[in-house]
Amino acid sequence: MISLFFSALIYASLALCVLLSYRVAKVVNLSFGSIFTLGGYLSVFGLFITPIFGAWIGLLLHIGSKRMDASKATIFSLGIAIAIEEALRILFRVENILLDSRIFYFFGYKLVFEHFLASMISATFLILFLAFELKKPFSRLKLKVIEEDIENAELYGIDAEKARAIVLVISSAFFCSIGGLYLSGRVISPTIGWLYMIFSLFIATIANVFREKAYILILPISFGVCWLV
Amino acid sequence: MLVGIAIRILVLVLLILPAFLDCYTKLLAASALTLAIFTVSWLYLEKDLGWASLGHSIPFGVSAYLFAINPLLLFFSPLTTFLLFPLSIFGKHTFPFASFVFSVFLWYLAHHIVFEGKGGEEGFRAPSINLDLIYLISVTILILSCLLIWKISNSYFGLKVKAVRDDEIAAKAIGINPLLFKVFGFAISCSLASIAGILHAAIFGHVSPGVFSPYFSLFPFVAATIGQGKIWSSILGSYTVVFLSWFLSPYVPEFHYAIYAVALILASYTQSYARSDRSV
Repeated sequence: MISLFFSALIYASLALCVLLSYRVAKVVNLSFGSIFTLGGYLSVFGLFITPIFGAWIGLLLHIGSKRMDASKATIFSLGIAIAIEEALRILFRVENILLDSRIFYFFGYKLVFEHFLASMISATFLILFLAFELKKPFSRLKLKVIEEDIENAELYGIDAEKARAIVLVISSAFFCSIGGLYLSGRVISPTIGWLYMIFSLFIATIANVFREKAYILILPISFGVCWLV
Repeated sequence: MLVGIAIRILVLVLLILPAFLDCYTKLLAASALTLAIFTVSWLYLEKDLGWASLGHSIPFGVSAYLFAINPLLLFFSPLTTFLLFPLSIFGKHTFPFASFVFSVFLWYLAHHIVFEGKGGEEGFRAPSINLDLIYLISVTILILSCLLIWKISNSYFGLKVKAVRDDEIAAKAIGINPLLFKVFGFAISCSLASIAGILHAAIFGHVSPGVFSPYFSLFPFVAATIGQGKIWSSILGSYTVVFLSWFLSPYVPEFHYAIYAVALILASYTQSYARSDRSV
């Protein structure tokens, strides 16, 4: 049950990133899976570098797909995804790597420390975003206008490009750092991230049906899907 | 004009020459050939209907699996149209992404397909056919596919398909049923992709979940990008990807993915997708 709870938290936060990219940055970011895997591989060198690399890729995505329509930006993100995978194959040579992990006991349950940390970071991220969503500060309202119509937002003087860059950088950095933590203790290969991305995408797609309430309902949906699976 | 003729001659040489070479080269050429048929099927969907599929491995892989499980099931392979076509409800902009995600989903699902104790990650053994014979069949099918697409494209019926591609609402206004022509276009494309999948299974005598992998999903897109959307150049593009991967794989693991990454990034800057935004 604890494992289910932690997984649901992680997938909900990943789905939130997917949803934000889709709604604000107007891109179905298919490179999230590879960024997640990259985090796993980079964790070999140290966990602190994972968000930095993730943020750089997010920035690259933003610059590369600026002013592209949704389908072209999606294809561009897919190109980036495959480039990351191929770079991992070339750099690490071996296909599969076993990542180290630390075990600890939480109320008598045996847990992987890195997974616990990933779920705590995810929980913090979700709580912060939920507070941002419910409190509706001025920046949230700006984001809402961008979500509804990017051209209108620009007419109102909102810097949509900046918002897009921030969303892509933060979501990529988040995916990369969660990948670094959540893949600990597992045997990883360059294609492992696809599964996590598809799963998050699935949750985000269901949440997207609820339009306005999507961000609030993302956690219960994630619980439901994780429980079913 | 001269470049076009040179490409046609080069393709014909590539089709004929391997028939006289050793078994391994012939196997490699046969693989490139089936993928060329696959590319032609994709190109029809993109050029004449305006739907850029990144999940064309769905009809390709499902047919290969059906053939491997029971060769009699191959008669159901045209029905794979109805696996890809429903994704068109997402619209032309989201279709590439939706089809790709569905193919990745099938890739994972295929690992769990077990029939009479066989399958799973190892896949199924397919009926193996003599390499010379299958090579001859593949060459014939590729030429027939090109002729069929050329014939349909230039027919009255093909013009209606293109009208639906350009503007569905205008097409409806002049009495064309867009749904019918879309289904027809998808059926032609998926049937050719299915044939390519069956030939692929017959050449290697084996089908694994890899037939749904991004390698196959993205292959026609990449080959068509190299060939700049023209049929003969795209066939040459298919050969280029297969042979380059084979030559460079010992130095760069899975080199085709490097080609894919470059092609996808460049294509997002150069190619145009989704010719018509309107849907009925």
